Order: sequence, then C-alpha cells, then structure tokens
Amino acid sequence: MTQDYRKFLRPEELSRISRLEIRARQVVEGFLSGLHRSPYYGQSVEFVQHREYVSGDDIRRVDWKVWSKTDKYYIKLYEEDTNLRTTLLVDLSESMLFQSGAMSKYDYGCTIAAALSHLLLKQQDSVGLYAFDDTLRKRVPSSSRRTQLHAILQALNNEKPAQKTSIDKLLRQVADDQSQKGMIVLISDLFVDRESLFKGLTQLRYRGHDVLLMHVLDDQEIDFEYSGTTRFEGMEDAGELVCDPRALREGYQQAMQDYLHELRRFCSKNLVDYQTIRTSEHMDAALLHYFNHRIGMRQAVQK
Amino acid sequence: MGGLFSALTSSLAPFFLNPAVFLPGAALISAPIIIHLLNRMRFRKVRFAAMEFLLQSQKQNKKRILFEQLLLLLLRILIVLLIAALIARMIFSPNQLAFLRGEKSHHLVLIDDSASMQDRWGETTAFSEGKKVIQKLVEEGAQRPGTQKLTVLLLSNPDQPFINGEDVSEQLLIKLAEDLETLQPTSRALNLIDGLQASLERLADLQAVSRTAYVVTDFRAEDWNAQPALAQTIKSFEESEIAVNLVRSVTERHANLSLVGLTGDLQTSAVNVPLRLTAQIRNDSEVQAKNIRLTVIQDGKKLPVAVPVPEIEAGETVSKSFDVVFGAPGRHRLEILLDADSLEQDNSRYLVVDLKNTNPVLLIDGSQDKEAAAIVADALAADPALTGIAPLIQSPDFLRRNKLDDFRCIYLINVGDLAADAILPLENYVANGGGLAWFLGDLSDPRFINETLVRNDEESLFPVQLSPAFRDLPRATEVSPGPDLQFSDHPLFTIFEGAENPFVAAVHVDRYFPVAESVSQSALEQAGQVQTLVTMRNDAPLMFEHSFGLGKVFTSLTTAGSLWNDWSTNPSFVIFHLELQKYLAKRYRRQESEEVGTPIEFTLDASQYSQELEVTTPDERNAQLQMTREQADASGDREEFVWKASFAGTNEPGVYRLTLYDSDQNPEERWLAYNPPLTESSLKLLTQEDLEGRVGEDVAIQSYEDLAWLQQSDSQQEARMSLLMILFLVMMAEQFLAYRLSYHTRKTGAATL
Repeated sequence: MTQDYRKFLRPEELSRISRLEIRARQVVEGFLSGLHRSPYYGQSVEFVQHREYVSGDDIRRVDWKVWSKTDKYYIKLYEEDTNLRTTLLVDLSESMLFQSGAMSKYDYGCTIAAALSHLLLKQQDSVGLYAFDDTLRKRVPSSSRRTQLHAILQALNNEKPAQKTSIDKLLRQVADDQSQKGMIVLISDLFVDRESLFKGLTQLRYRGHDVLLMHVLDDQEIDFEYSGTTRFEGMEDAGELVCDPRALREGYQQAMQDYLHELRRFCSKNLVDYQTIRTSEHMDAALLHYFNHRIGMRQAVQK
Repeated sequence: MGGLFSALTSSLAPFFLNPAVFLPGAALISAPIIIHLLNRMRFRKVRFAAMEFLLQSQKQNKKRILFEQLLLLLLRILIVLLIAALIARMIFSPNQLAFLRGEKSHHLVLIDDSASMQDRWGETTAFSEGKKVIQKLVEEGAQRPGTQKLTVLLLSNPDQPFINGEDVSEQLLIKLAEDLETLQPTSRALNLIDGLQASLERLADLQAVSRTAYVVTDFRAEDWNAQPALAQTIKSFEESEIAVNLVRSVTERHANLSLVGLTGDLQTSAVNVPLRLTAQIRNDSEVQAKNIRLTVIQDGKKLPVAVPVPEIEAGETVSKSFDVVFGAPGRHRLEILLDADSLEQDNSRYLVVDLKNTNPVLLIDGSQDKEAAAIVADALAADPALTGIAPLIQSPDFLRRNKLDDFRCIYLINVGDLAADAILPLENYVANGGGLAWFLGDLSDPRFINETLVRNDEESLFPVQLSPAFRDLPRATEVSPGPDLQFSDHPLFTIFEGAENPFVAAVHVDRYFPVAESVSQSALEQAGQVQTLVTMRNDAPLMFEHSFGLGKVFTSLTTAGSLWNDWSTNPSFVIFHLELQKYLAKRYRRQESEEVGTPIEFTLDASQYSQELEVTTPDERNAQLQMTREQADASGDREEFVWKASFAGTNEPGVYRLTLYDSDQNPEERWLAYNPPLTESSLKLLTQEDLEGRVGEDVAIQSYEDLAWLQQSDSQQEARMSLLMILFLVMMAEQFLAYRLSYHTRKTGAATL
C-alpha cells in the first residue's frame, strides 16, 4: 500500500505529463498520500507543551479544558506559528538540458521546484523563485497567495536554457534581497566555478539563511556508462573530445567523486544541507529530503 | 603475383609444414588494425555537460591509454599470427639460424649388417626388425613431406650410403620398401666404430636444422667388451650436437651352437689314406646343449653317418675328431654342418683338401752315390701307399731345368756350389710357399754359402754365416755328459717330448759346421727371423728354421745320412723326417682359416702366368679379375715384374675357386675355403643397465619392439604444443587487457555517490 503510490512518482511516468502544474500536483498528492501516517501530516503549526500561566500572557492561549479539570491556568505552547519563507533558486543554464534518461535535469529540476512550491503553498507558506543562468532570468517574489504557484510555473516554463551558469552574482543578490531569514533551496547541477559557489553559499549562511543544496545529476554524469568511440561536445562551450569513454571512465569518475566529496565537505563544514539527486530517482526523493531537512531544523530549534 | 606468392611460399617452407596457408593467414593481421581504424572513424556524438571532469581524466590518462591501446592491438595481431602459424603448422627448433640457411632436419640410420644380425627367432630376424625401424622412420617422416632428409648407411660399407640424403616422402617410402626387401646382412664381422665415425663425419658436414643419428644393432657384449672406444665414439656425437638413438634389434639372448674350427693333417693327405679331421664346437648359450649331430658333406654329398656329440656344457668348446677317405686325387670340398639354431651361418664350416695320388718330394743330393738321399727317401716312403709320399732323388742340375712348383717340399742334401739359375727358381719356389730343407755335408762350401746364399740385410735362403771348416764333436764323456741333441719347444719335436722317449738320447753327432764366430747366439735370436731348433751338448746350434717369403726353410748343419752322425740308424729318424716333411709342405698356410670378408690377395710371377684370373664364388658366380703389373722389387733394381690381384667379394662362407692361366694359357686351379667369423657367434647381449652405464644417460636407448618414440622425435620439432600454449597466454593477456580497458556494470548497480 505504502509502495503503490510511488509508481506515480517515477520520472518515466511523470515525463508524460506535459503541464508542469499537473505534474507538480501529481507529485505532491502522491507524496502526501504516501505520508498520511506521518506525525507531521497537515500541520505546519503544532502543539508542543503546556506551561503555567503567568501574568502578561495572552488570555486567548489559556487551555480552558485543562482549567475545567484542574482549576489551574495553563497555556498551550505552539511551535512556529508564522509562515515559512522559502526561496527556490533554479538553475536554467544549458548544461541542465543534458538528458540520458526519461527526463532532463532541467525538467527534473523544474518539477522539483514546482512540486515544492505546490506543497509549500498548500501549507500557507510563502514561496519565492529565482530562475538563473549566467544572469538572473526571472524573479518571483515570495508570497503565499493562491496565484503564486501560477507565477512560479510561468517563470519556469518560459525559460529555454542556452547560457552558461554564473552563480556568484546571483547568490549575492539573493543574500541582499532576502533580508528576512528563511530557507534557500538551490536546485542545480552545480557545474560552476567552485570558488564563487562556495563564496555565495558562505554569504547566505552568514546572513542566517538555511541553505538546502539539491544537486541534480544525470545517471550518465555519475556512472559514465558510455561505450564505443564517442565525440563529446561540451555544453556551455566546454570544448569537445573524441575518445573511447571506457578508457576514460575511471579517471572521469574519480574526478567527479573528488568534486562531490569537496562539495560535501564544504557543506557539512558550513551547515549547508546537501543532497545529490539522480534524475532517475523517484520524484518524492527531493520532497522527502526537504521534509527531513525541516525536521532537522525543528529539532535544532527545540534544542 | 602468383610467382611472388609461390616464391614467398617456398621461402617459408623451412618454417612451416603448410607454408601456403601461412601467407593468407598472416594477411589477416590487417583485420584488427582495420577494425581499430574504423572504430576511430565511426563515432557517435554526445552533447555532454560534465566536460570538465572528462577533460581532466583525458589529460591524466592520455599516455597510458595510448600505450594500452597499442598493446591490445599488438596482442590481437599476435593472436592472428599465432593462429595462422598453428594452421600452417610451424616448425620450431632452437637452431633458428639453420632455418635461414634453408636446411631440413636430417636423419641418419646406421644399420649393422654383420653376421650376428642374422640372429633368427620366430618368423623374424634381428636384421629384418632393424629394417622395420627404418621403414617406420620414413613412414613417420612422409607424413610431413619436404621437411626431412634421410641417409642410410650399411655397416659393411659406410662410405657408400645405401640412401644418400634423400627427401623423406611417399616416393622414398615406396622405393625403400623395394630396396629393403632384397637387403640381407653379410656374413662378416664388422667394426661398429668405423661405421659410427663415418656417420659422424657425414652428419658433421651437414648444415641441418636438427641432426639425428640412429644406430640399429644387436648390442652384443662381445663387440662392446672388445672395443671400449665404442662408447666414447657415441659420446662424441653429443659433442657435435647430434642426437643419438641407439636402437636394439634384439632384446634377448638366443642359444647358439657354432663350429669354430675344422683342422686336419692335410699335408699328408693322399688318395685312400684316411685323413683325420678335428671339428671344434662351441656352445654359446647359458644352458647345456645335448644330442648334437655333426653332418659331414664331402664334395656336395652327405656322408651317411653323422658324427654324434652327446653334450656340451654352456660356454664350453668341444673337439670331435673323425676320419674321411678320399678315393680320387684332386681338390675336394669338405663341409661340416650343425643342426639349425638361431644363428645359422656359423653352423657350417668348410675345408679344401688338395689330394694327390702321391705327394712328390724332391731330394737333391750333391754326392755321386746319393746314399744320404736314399736313406731319407726310405724314411719318407718305405711304402708310398702308407704315407702317400713319392720321393724323387736328383742331382743339383735338376733345379735348373725343371719346374719345382709341383713338389711338396725340396731337400738339398750335401750339395756344393749352386749355379745362379738354380738358386733363382729355388728362391721363387720358397717365396711362393714351398718348403726347403738344407742338410750340409762334406761337399758343402762355407765360402759359397756365406757369400752367395746369406744376405745380411734381407731374407736369404740360408740362415747364418758358417765357419770356414767343419768341426768334430767328441763323444759324451763324464766331463761332458748328456745327449748330443737338445730340442727346443717346436711343433716339429712335439712327438719327442717327454722322458719316455729314449731313442733321441742315443743319437750321436760326430761332425758339424759351426756357425761363424762373428755370429753370436744372441745376435741370432735378436734377429728374430731365425729360430734355433736344436742345439748340441756343447751349446753349439745345429738346426735352424726361418721364413723366406711365404715358405719355410729348415737347415741342419750336419748330414742327413750316416756320414757325420748316426741318427739314420735310430728309429726316431723316420718320425723326424715325416714330421719335417709335413711341416715344410704347408704350401697355402693361410687357406686353413680364412675369414669371410678378408680379400683374396696374391702375387704371381709375371713371366709364368698370364694376366687373366677367374674367381668362382661358392654360389657358382664367376668374376673376371684383371691383375696389375708391378715391379717385383720395390727399389726397382731388378727388371722383374709380378702380377698383383685382389678380390674383395669374399662375403659368403664357402669355397672360392681361382683359375689361373700360365704363360701357355693352361688353367691352374687354386681353392680357398672361407669360413664365418668366430667373433660373431656369441649372442650374449649387453644389458640395458650396462649399456646406459657405458654411453651415459643422455643417449636414448630404444627397442625395436616399441616404436612409439619415433612419432615423438618428429613432433618435438613441430611447435604445436608450444604455439598453443603461447596462444593461450596471449589470449589470456588480451582478455585481461580488454577487460581492463572496457566498461563494465558493477554488480552492486550504480556507482556509489
């Protein structure tokens, strides 16, 4: 029963749904139906504990049911009761167009962004979007209105990736724009200059934002299972190479692992949550990861 | 194009058994190269995002990839080449350089065809088993034509090969089958060392890929014990890097009886006088032989009664005497036969008996009354029918006018000076084997003897220089006791040996010619040619014997008759003269035991005989021989010529008849008996351990019974197994490298993140 819903979350299935909105809804609803036993279901503002009333407390928070049984004034304490402010940064550069499976990284990234937006808006949280390549392409300011989803989907849909990725300016701009602390979700393949990436992320952390890195990679980019003489033409003007990929596989994987390792090390050092997501994985992986991140955040607050 | 292909094919022939296959095979090495190039040209395009890492990997691995790709290409080319070599059946040998000289492997078979190879058991003989070894060798070689050559040497004639370096092929196999069919072993004793050395020289001159000698013989202990150098000769093959296979044609000793002798007093043989012959039979086996019968064949007719020999112990020789009587004069052929056994040829033995009605003996007496000659004549033939001797008493002039060859021997009794034309026939007579007896007397002239008859540097008719005057020997006294005659150890006096013969002691010598004082006794003995037979009480020599040419000369320094001694009145006188006559009468001494294979050689006076000579072999084949004319005297001082002849075809035992023609073309026959060699009769073999001990462990010792090793010896040269092994290793390496260079999904699924 719990596994059945996942069949609707397979990239192969979802890729058939052309409209991003419907796709996002499919993902979220499938995800939520799988999560219906979760203790977090449907609650964004949750009861934590009772506390004795002291003068100055809001009388509206007194739990009258407890008073009627014990004749004592207790106040109900809730966790966050304000809207969560989430900003999605979606990479729309040319390299995101790479596709070996059912979905390109671009499609996958957009779907994740749309699904997250749908989910968050459903919970009355506010969501904002930055779509970027070498510059900022589209910006949808944070809002929790009903129309926000439409705006976001429009922004994602309109973009046709053709440019290189340049991330340092974007991250600086995001840091400047988002004066209020919130969650920043970066969805990208991260084929960017490392120095500027690390610099921007550090900046965001410095401003007190929670940063979640969703590193979207194609299977072939990790496993590199090409064979036969192949001419590789680099996206984003990265040059070209004719080779026997089998011979280079080991070295390629090593270089890739080195990069991922470096990313992970940086993230754990700077308390940036990092997750590699394959485009072949089920869509809910990203959402699950988001929720895990939220729990981690809450536990951190509780402590 | 076709010419080029065939030229290339022929140049590859020494390397491969199927060279024609190799070239197309080798052309296939282009296949991996073409596939490689095609792969470089046909590629698919991929637009790729993570070029950064790909370029980084390429930069790091560029050299390694190039090296590995080249190695892989090389391995694949090698695989194609190896498969081509396998199909073309490459030949492998350490002597790679020899390949370039275009030589083939050479097999030399030395087959022993001596008499002992006639050893028969069951339906086969040692020699036919040896022939089968050759045939099998060629059969194996013919399966790969054009790679091997064969030389076959017969031990009887190692200088002229039976097969001389011919290519081993089906044709040779057919030819060989016909040739070997008629090839039979000789009846001779042969020297294995000669054959081995001829083989070694022949092989050492060859530039072949591999040289292998096969020695097919019976490995008889007698051969190897008699010639310790045999083992050394075989070892010298290894020093010349020639492989040697010793092939036994017999594996176990077979019992054999052999006739080793047939003798008799042929000198005294005469018509109707019983002739006593003695046969010697040897038992060459490990068990006692019983109930042996000796068959006698006289002039081709079997005598009705066989001579029985009850038993002969192992390894023993037994003599058996029997009498034969010949009813007619002339030459007679006598053959004795044993029953058949494993070695047949030594079961018979031949003898020629030259029988006359009477044996004429010429007695030349220089005195008027011829009394001494008459006494000797009486001693020799009181009754000619009993002794078969016909004495003829003549004066010295007889020597000048008559032919002397018919006389069995000649006595010169008390002769004075001899004319030169009397001395010359005498010398010829003795030189050709005649016997001469000197008896001095009062007519003898020491000066003439010393100056004319005695020659210091060469053979002479008279043995010693004499003192100018005779001397008297006083009768025995107490001062000088003992018998007058003291005999030496000589066959002539065997009959007088022993103390029980009192007659000789009673002989008195009163007068004799002493040897010249210049001639000392020691000088006489040292000369060696003159043997002193009898000395006297005063140690003075009295009788001598020496050789002259083929003949023998007896010399007595006292008289034959009763003039200077009283021997003629003594009964021992008759016995002595009969013995002397027998001893001197051995005209053809060598005929008694000529061995098969010894050439017939003789010298004839060119003035008396014509050049033609006919030889009739035992199987009644005739051969005409031309004799060569040579100067009789090597120094060339004398203008005399002789005929010299040699006949080497005495390969079969039996009686060889020579027909000579004198200057008037009258035929004269001489018969010679040839008998099997005694050394071939012992069939005791060397044991395997003994043989290994002699030749060393490196020499392969094989047996005719199991010829599987012949197949191995050739397959060793073909590199099939080695090539397969190399191919396997190269394929493993190729697979390993290809696996390393190629992509594989891991069992655990995707790469770890």
